[in-house]
Amino acid sequence: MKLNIKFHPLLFQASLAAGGVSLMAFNYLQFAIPHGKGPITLSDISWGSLTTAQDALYAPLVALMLVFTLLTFGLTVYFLYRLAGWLGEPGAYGTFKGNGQGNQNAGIFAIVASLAMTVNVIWAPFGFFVPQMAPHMQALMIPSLFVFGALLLVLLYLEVAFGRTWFAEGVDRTKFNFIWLLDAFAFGLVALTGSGIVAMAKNNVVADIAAVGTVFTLVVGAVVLLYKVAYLTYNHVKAGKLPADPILPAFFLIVPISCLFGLSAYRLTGFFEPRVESGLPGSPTALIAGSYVLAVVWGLGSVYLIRDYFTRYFVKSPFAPPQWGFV
Amino acid sequence: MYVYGFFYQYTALSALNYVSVYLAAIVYALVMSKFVTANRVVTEPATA
Repeated sequence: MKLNIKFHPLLFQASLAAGGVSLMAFNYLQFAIPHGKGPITLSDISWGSLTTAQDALYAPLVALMLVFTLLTFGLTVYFLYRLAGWLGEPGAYGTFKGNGQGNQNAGIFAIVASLAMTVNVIWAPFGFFVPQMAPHMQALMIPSLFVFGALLLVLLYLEVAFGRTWFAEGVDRTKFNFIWLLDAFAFGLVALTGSGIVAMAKNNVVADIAAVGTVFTLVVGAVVLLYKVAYLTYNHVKAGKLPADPILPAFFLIVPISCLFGLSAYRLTGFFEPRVESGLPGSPTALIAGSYVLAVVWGLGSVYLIRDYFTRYFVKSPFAPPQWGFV
Repeated sequence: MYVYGFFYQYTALSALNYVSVYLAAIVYALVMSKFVTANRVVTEPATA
């Protein structure tokens, strides 16, 4: 299929969402099927010893994971190709960046988020289908650390560069919506990448660097997230009405952000706990459970809030990029 | 009683997790079909 829609950074949400589905299937298999230490691989599943019911449960999941893993890589490569063309167009990036009204330029963060997701898909679902990766996982840690560092630097640069446009004179911030949280989402996914290195790397130096980078990412991301959620909630309550229909799915962005921050922080506690003599205050389990409870509560609250959107609009509606937020 | 409760809870969560993967895939397919339609609309010249 040839893509005729003009390139927009939000297109990366398609590869991001495909990676999300692929990881969901992987996570289910990781926790449902007993296997050795480390991520589960295809060779860990003894198909012959499974019951017919288990075969019927797991086989479609593996097929689905394969489809979405291929989709993630295919779309990522294609969108990167289109991104290169877009960056080469005179004035295209500058015009996009300069449009801070209604946080229309926040879509740039979908690129970083998608690339961070792709790294996680390489580690997990791709590693599932290519069992040869498992013995060489440690060799991947240093390149992964460089990718994590590059993603973090690009994210920080974009945060500063685009942050200026949101607070420029003449920008009506009362018109901002939850798509504005895409940068916090990107911070969450970059933190997930960093904490993945922390959890997997056996080299102490690599793990230490990744841990420091992840803490930094989480702290900056949390500040951005808390400020924006407070600001947006205040503005939405003050306005007394919901945004336009195409933007409504953006309310769901809080759900993955909450899970990503919770999971990354949980992995960090596993790294720091043995290194702190008196132990860390609080319970790591409460941390991850709390983030998932928040995600569920916010998700259900959002479904209730925009229930009319589902009943009268979504099925027949035209495509709008925030719809990827549902996935 | 406790064991049953735990088992039920685990099964319920596991089932919820399992179903959510397919739900996400269905929603993905739905949004992707809208995207493909939008792409086609851009391609086809207006006839009216």
